[in-house]
Amino acid sequence: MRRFRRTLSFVVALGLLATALGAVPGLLPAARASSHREAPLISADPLADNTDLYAFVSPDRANTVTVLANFIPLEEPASGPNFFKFDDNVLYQIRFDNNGDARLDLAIEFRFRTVVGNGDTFLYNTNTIDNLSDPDWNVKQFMDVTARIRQGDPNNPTFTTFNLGTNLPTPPVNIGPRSTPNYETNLAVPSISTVPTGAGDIKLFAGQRDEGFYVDLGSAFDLLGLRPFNPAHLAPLPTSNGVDATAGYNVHTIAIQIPTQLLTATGALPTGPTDPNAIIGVYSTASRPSTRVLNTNGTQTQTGNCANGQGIPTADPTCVQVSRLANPLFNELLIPIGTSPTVSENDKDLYNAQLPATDVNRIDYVRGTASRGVEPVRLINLLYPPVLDAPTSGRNDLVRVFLTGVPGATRPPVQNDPADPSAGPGAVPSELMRLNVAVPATAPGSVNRLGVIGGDLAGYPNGRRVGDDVVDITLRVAAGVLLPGNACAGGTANCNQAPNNQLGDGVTQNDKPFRTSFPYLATPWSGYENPFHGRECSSTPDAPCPSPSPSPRP
Amino acid sequence: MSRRYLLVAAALCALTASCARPAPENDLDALLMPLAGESEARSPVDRQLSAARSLVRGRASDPKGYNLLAAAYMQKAREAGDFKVNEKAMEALDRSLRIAPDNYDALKLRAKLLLTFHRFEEGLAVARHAQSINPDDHDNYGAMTDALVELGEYAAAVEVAQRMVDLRPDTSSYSRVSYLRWLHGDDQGAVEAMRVAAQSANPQDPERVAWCHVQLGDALLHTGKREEAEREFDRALYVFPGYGAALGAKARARAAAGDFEGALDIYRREYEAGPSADTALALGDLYAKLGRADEANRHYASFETLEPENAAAENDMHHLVAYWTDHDKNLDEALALARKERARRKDIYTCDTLAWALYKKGLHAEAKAAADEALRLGTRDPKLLFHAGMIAYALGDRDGGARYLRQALAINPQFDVRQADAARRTLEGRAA
Repeated sequence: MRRFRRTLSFVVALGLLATALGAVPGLLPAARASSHREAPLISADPLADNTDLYAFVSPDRANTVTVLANFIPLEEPASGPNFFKFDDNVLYQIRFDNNGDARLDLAIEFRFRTVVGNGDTFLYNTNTIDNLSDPDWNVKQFMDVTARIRQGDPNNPTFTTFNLGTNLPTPPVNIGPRSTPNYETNLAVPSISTVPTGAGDIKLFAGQRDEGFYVDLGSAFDLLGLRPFNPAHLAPLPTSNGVDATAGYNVHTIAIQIPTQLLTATGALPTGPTDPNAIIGVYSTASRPSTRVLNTNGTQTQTGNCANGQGIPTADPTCVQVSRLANPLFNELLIPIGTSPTVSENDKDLYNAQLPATDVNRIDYVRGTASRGVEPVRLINLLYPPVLDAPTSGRNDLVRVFLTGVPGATRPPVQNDPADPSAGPGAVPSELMRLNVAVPATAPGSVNRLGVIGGDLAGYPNGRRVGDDVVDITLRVAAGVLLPGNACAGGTANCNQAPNNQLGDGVTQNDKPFRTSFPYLATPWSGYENPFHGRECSSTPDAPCPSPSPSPRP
Repeated sequence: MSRRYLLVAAALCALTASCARPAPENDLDALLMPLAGESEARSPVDRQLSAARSLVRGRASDPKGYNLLAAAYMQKAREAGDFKVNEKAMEALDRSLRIAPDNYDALKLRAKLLLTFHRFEEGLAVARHAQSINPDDHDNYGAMTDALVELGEYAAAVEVAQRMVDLRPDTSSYSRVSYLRWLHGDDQGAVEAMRVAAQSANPQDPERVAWCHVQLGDALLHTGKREEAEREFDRALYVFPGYGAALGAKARARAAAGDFEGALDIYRREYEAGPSADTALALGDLYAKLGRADEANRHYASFETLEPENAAAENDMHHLVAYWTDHDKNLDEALALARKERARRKDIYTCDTLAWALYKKGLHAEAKAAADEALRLGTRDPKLLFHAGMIAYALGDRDGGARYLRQALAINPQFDVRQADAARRTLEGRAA
């Protein structure tokens, strides 16, 4: 506002320059207008793509639970002029099951609405954005948040809607020191909304954050390479440090911090970790409205973000769930993509479209059968000869991590467990992130990135905290560290020993320190300052520009 | 490789001696040879190409690499407007399907690619085969919808598109909904669906975002909202500078606003950057409109040189036939080709082309039957209405003819550089 009065004309000049560059002959020649209408080739839908879910007891606010759901994978911070935002047409939801029946008891719904201030410009901002109401910020997005709460019989549920807030602010994306200075203080923190309730405040936030998931994708996609274990690979390479492939990228996060008793089935705080009401199941989704291709009466159909009263699964066929997520890596690693000729095995899209109660049909992917071993376990055994071969079938330990909860920690009392006849009878196995809300948060200095297998019971797979190293945890669990007795190497060795319990991709922390308070994920990288995706370089041979950024996550 | 690329390559060759590149040892090397002007640093599609080539080199017996290569070549052809690159995509898919005849991704891509080559029946058959392997993939229903639309099987197209959008509502399904609504005369519904498609497009895919805005602009243009339409074309150019489809649309919007010099300017710069048949024809018509006959004829000649190559590559004589008919050239051949195409498919544009060719040959009764077929969905396309109007006049139905012409002009008073004036002259009782 005060500074950079000439920003507008300067940015316009840049835009023209870009236009001129684009028209350079041979670089982008004029398209041949086809005589038939060719739709885009690839159908990717990142705006509705749910990438990570976190659920944990808030470390800085007792008796509250925080849930974060991330969307829009691998946002390049320098993405102008087409900056990222939530899609106004998508219904974003965090869904809870609090009585162990794998059915919906509570949904927190986020809907967005973009408001363009000045229709005469395409610019995101015409000068510095100093605060959330700054008129120089041209493309603002507001949100409505509602809670949908099940009433009465779970077999015949009705849902009551509570409005948690309308026209709540969301921050702009982090552009750089000229457009969005003091991003966290001026823009992100003021976007946190507080909703008072009888049980305490609910906090809400939605906006851009640093990608908190860290993984060495480049190596993982090169035949499941784990750089610290390079010499042990079937195709050995020298040992090296892991490379954080998601460093320097952002995501869009929806976040809620909610008093614990608003989540439990009884509406009370659980008495302790063994209280049957202490365990909640969480997953997140994105849904889009379908529409009639042709209208019988010749008038237009309304589209919209699965408007009010819609969006409750199975009750609303016009609202199509296009993305679902609970445990990290579940769809990526365990759901088969299938190969010809039986591509009907490709279950990834169907998984996204279905409800957790259907996951009982996926139990064999997780447990493994004699004819079809658990895919990632098979790969680890094959590619790392020194690893004590973990069993590829009968893996009830994996079923518990992903589908039923771990007895004594995250398994609800009514949950069926195929490995435990005393459990249930009750809910079918279903893929949920299960959190025991009565296990207190670990003090910040004592957090172990390996969570439960590292002796830190407040971490994954008891919920998931922002720093939990889910890649290393999942690798070690796949290699059998939770299996009792001598289950590895053909039943001759305990799996919980080296190298099985040492596996990892060599990336052990995020590229940025996390916030210590809500919404915990770190401030997003700005397009201007990004040490990972660009540093000063010149076109002369002695100071070459860095190579292009890593390939996107599939 | 397009002529333009050859020229650029020749120029680079002279400057850098890069022409010393060894000749390809076999066909695979030719398939994997980078295209002139590729730049990994500049363009995501070039990075895709390079990654796919590495995969093929590393695992030549894995169909996946060829599939990725084909997809990248298809996107490259689309972005660069270089149709010939599609032939490389076809070769990559042939190789993939030789390794694994029923591999789904290759079948799905092949269906799409066959449509690009205007082999609609074959494309539909391949898409149906793919559907028998995986009936839940919404993407494949997109190819089926497109094929059915091109073949004029509209009821089936609507059914398949409904399945597509119910399986997965997203940019690709919403944009099909939009087009089908427009074809069926629901202009407003078309605008609405395309707006959602544009909002839902992947922001990291500027070509897709720009494509949606061009389509949205076209839909708006058809509802008479010229200024809003032009704004969408500008937005397309803002997110994807230099995008050919958007430049052409922008020029059409300028012409629709009566700013023929502005339109001329855009086409001229495009033509100078790299002559294409479409631009040549647009320039010819604009120069003719402005009374600059020499320049018009020069560009018509350029079109006549360039277009046959496109027509052969794309297996599509439509542009040539339309040009001949509009400019009263080769009318016998035009009619023969239009009849032949009509025997092959019955979409409204094929019917319209036949109607217009029949009209030009004085076969007015038969022309009316074809024009009625072209308007059977109630599509509010000014060109279809203009043709129907002129045919009605020729049959002595002045009232019916005038109704059609007024309708065409009401939708867009400058719907075509030449024909909008002809419509006005006819309505005023002068010779068209």
